[in-house]
Amino acid sequence: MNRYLRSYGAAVALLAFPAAFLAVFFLLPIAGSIAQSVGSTALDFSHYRRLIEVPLYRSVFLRTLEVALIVCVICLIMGYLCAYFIASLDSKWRTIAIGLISFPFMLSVLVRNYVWTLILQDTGLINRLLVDSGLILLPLELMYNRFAVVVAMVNMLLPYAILPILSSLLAIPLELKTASSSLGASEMRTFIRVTLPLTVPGAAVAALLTFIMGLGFYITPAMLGGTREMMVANLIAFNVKEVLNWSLAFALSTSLLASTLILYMIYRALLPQAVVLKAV
Amino acid sequence: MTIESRMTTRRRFVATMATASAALALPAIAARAQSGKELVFAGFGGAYQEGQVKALFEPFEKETGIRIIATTGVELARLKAQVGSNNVEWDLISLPDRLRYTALLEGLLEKLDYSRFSVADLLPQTVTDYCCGCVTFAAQLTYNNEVFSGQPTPTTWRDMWDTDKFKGRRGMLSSVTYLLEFALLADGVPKEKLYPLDVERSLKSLEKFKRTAVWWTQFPQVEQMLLSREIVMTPWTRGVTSQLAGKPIRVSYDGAAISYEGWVIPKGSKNYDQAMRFIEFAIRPDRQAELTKYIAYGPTNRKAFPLVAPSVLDLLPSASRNFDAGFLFNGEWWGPNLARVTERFNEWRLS
Repeated sequence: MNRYLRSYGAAVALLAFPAAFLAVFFLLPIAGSIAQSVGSTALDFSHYRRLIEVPLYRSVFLRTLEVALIVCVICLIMGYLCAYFIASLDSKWRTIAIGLISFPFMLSVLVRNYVWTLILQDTGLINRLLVDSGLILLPLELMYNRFAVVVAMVNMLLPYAILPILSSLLAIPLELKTASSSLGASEMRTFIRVTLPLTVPGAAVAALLTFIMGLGFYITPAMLGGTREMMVANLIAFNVKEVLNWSLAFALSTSLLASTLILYMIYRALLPQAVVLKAV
Repeated sequence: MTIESRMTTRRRFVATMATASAALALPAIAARAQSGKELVFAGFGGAYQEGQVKALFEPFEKETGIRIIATTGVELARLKAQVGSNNVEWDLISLPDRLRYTALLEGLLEKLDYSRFSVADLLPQTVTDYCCGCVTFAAQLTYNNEVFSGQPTPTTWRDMWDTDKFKGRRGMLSSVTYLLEFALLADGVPKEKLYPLDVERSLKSLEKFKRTAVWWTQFPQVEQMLLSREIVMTPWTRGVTSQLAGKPIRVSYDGAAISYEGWVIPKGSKNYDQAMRFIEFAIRPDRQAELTKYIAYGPTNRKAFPLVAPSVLDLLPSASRNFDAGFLFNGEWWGPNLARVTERFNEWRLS
């Protein structure tokens, strides 16, 4: 008991610094921005009223959630397949594969968006190849639409899906699979009854990470999305930087934060308790 | 702008870290300009700022002993934060007219004391109480001239809108300022009657390109798009720079939006007197002419015109032939309307 208390005290002491850091550099600014969204002196909800009344804001919010969800689902599927493959490699190749997955983190987001431009545009890599080889006559519309935005976002968020799923795959003791097959289960059955349930916590983290990060995308829709793709972050940036309407920008970001939290709670409620404790 | 600010944020971060570690070793280093001997300038970085350092800041230090610390990452939002927290780091900014009104509305600028020097030689449109014109620039019809070799080249916005006469995909600036003006000119509004802008008429005129044009957001993106022929023409601000760099890119000043950048002093600057001394220095004809060697922006001082190589001056917005062919972009009108019009424009984009 005493020992438990002592280690508990040590944990508190160790956590105090990061907690203080987060309080000062994360919670405080967030509290400040929420406060500013309802006016600096008297309570003023006019900016929130605007978000509700002007149809533009509602439709951009819905688009943002939609795009983030699509990207999240694709990342989850592709990330799972990729992680499953990597988990089956021997340790040398696995290290190489993880290195390759982490490599794009060293490039700036902006550069990666430019690269996608060069690949997807009418005179880009894919269309050149297809047109020059005579497979198609007119270039495909790959750029300036949701397709381009989703492709680039998946590209940028995929590592956040692969890594947590991979770690939960690697945590599965090999004996379990052996046991399962020795009891007569086919490989498919082993996957569905043993592997998949054990990786749900990793997949849950992957989904959460990609979805929440996807909500905040800004440069990608601006560069690759053409006229129709616009996300909340683009509206926030405009109000912060161009017209200095910070209250409206804070109202937008507070709403985005609130909707993220609500979705997060729904998400938690839907997951089995055991997974919640392990993962989220 | 986003790119620049992103890059400069990183650069600034590195610079801040370097300063911070230096400060640990050398407590005497002050975070802000030493009063009287130093000025902090905040700019957009890039070739423009390199030119400002070479043509203006270094010679100024030589002449007066006042050193100018050139930082990047200038943004009204950051200025607002500095003024709001009573902690103004910057003494000097060159501010595009487009942002002047917002800066004034937020009370971010000091009034300039024009009793200290004469501004009689400057283009009068570029001199106001809080902002003293330093360069002119233009957004104009820009095209890949190899696409049109041996054929007539597009010169007016009507030409750009005439997709039968001039084939090829168009590029469009995905932001309301400049764009709405061009759409109205293409629709037949005379340039004297542009402001106040008829937003709905303008959007109707743009309808034609809503789903067919390449709508770009990043200014540096455009050169590559023109050279790869992804687009054949677009409104742009850096065409002259590309042309002077030898690229097959040409511009037309017919109906161009002419605007300017001016020196401003942030509210609460600790070095107002030195900053005013600098402005007096920087608007001198020889200094303004020198700057054109680095960047294709025009002088605001008419006495600087004869000092610029005629072949270059011909391409700059300040040259009266160009200045008169375009229209003066109206920041006063845009100031109070930008937020509302952008909202409408975004709605139009999604509809």
